[in-house]
Amino acid sequence: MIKKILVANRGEIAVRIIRSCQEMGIQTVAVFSEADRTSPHVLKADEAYFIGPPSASESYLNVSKILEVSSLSRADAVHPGYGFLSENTDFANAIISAGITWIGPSPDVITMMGDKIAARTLAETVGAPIVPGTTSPIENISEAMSAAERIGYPVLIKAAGGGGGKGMRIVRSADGLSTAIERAGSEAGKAFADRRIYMEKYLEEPHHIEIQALADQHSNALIFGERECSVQRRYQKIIEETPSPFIDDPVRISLQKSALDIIRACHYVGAGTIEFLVDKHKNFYFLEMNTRLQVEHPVTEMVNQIDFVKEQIRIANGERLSIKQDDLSPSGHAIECRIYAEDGYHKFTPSVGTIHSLDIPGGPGVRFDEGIRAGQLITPYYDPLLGKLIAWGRDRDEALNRMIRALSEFHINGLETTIPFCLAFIRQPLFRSGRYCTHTLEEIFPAVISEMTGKDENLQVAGSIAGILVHQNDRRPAPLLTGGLSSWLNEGRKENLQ
Amino acid sequence: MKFVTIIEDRVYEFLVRQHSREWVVVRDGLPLQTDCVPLDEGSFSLLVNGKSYFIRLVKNKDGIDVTIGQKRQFIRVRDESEQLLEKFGFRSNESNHAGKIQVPIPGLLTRLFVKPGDKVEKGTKLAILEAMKMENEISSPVTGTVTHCHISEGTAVEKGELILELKL
Repeated sequence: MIKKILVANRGEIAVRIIRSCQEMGIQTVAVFSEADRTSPHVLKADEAYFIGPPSASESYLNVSKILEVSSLSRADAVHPGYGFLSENTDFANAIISAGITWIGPSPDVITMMGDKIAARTLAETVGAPIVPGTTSPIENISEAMSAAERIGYPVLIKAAGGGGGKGMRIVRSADGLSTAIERAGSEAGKAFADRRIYMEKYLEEPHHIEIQALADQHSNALIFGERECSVQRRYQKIIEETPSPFIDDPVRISLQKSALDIIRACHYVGAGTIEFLVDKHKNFYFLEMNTRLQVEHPVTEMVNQIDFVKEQIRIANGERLSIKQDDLSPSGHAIECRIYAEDGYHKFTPSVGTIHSLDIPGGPGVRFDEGIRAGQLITPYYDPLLGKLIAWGRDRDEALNRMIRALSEFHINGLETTIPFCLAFIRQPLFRSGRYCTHTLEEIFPAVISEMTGKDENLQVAGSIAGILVHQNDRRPAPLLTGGLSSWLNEGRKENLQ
Repeated sequence: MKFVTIIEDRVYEFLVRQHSREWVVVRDGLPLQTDCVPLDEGSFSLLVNGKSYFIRLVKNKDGIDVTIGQKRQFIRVRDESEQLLEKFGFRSNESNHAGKIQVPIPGLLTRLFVKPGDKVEKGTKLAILEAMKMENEISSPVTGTVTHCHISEGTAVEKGELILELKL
């Protein structure tokens, strides 16, 4: 039985995993870089060990160092979270060779399904439709040119070694191809230590739909309902919901069947996600499989009353799945907003700085999975995800209204975040009606930006008054804003004394 | 004292004066009951005639970014003397910044595509800045000629550092 887990990650997912471990009475070991000494995962874990400089390649991607800490701390299992080493076969192998339990699928399965090209081949053999594309990595520009001609523009350049939008480029004509190949290869090399890229047909009006699966070591599998992940910027998800307002029962059943076929074919064990693209005619195509926990797993947790981290740990322990497929009865609707340290007003440029203060929303049906605390310095070294806000409701309307309420009361003071963007996007009629695809964000972006801007006269008057106060404050030798008392009243008193 | 605030194409006028122990803000001849309390750095609770606003405020070089209800407004505030100065042509130093390309976020400057003497168009790719695992393109906001390059490829840079200068 697992008694102590090393969490080979940082940020919100490390905190998320630590929380489940604590509820199960399992000891937790955190690892941290120089930049993370006071980050929440370090503060919340039972033990924490330093693993290197801020740069991820020297810390969170440092296999030998993390292995050393695993032995030193006598952890009997390692949870890799997502990103970093979660899909790294060498790391999984090293952990297993050291006699430590790897909380994830076997290294062989990670190799096969983690490699998007191999995964597509497997999907084809079980009859899952795939998007037209190259079946082997692109070696050079002339190969890319002929592949693009064969597939037909627009094409999508993708990294073979990982996801998350890194190393991904859309190319609409032959002109942009060589630059895109170069940049994608370079980005992929840095993000995944793997420069290989491939190409596929870029579908018009597609939905990004994914199916969550859980499989134990005794050939039992659970296939959950779909997650709609079509709100993306830079091919990176930002808002997800379940169920999808676009998917009907027949399509859902087909997607789930395909997912189950793929899980069975690769003898999958653990938590995994099968991603599909669904076009506007509801044709679906297998996209890729993620052999790990995903960022957006909480929406499925909320409607199924399940804890995926706990299930992963039970599976790694060799236990059987505690529920059967027929026992699953999803209830209500859940939506997640990813809160990134990015400036929604300026093309989502990363924002860094110290979080002066935080007002985290609460109340019924709201969950915040966070990797931040007040006083924390957000550095430019890692993925800018600060946390995930999740709202559950009995139906989609209630979930959306709850999310709007929660976002409205959410303040992260000290840096720019995607909170205003998420709020403005959810208020858009296209989102509200559920008629959106992966292109929607780009198409309605001007309307979203407009919604993010205060045009209402009352807001402008209130803003003006605050602006005048601060303006005057700047021009006086003694500061007006000393805290506590109303500054206006304060100033009145001072004037009276003179 | 009289103030004007400028928000996009709208102008608001306010009269701010002391009335017994309180400040009174008057707009269009009507007094507004105002109570503004700082909460922490850059955030305030403002009550205007009983209506409650949570305000976040960030000062920029030309004005103030005010966020209320997760909606942003860019506000310029001018008092009487400043309005007078602007009227006589003493503009604040707004125009000199256009040709200065600064680092938007800390990171690593991995590529620099131009050198002094190069002519660039608005939108020309100037450099690539790697931050938060993404390669961010920095493109020229203006058409002009590169006069100075202050940072070479492979340098770690801080926010606000001057990368290069352009002559318009």
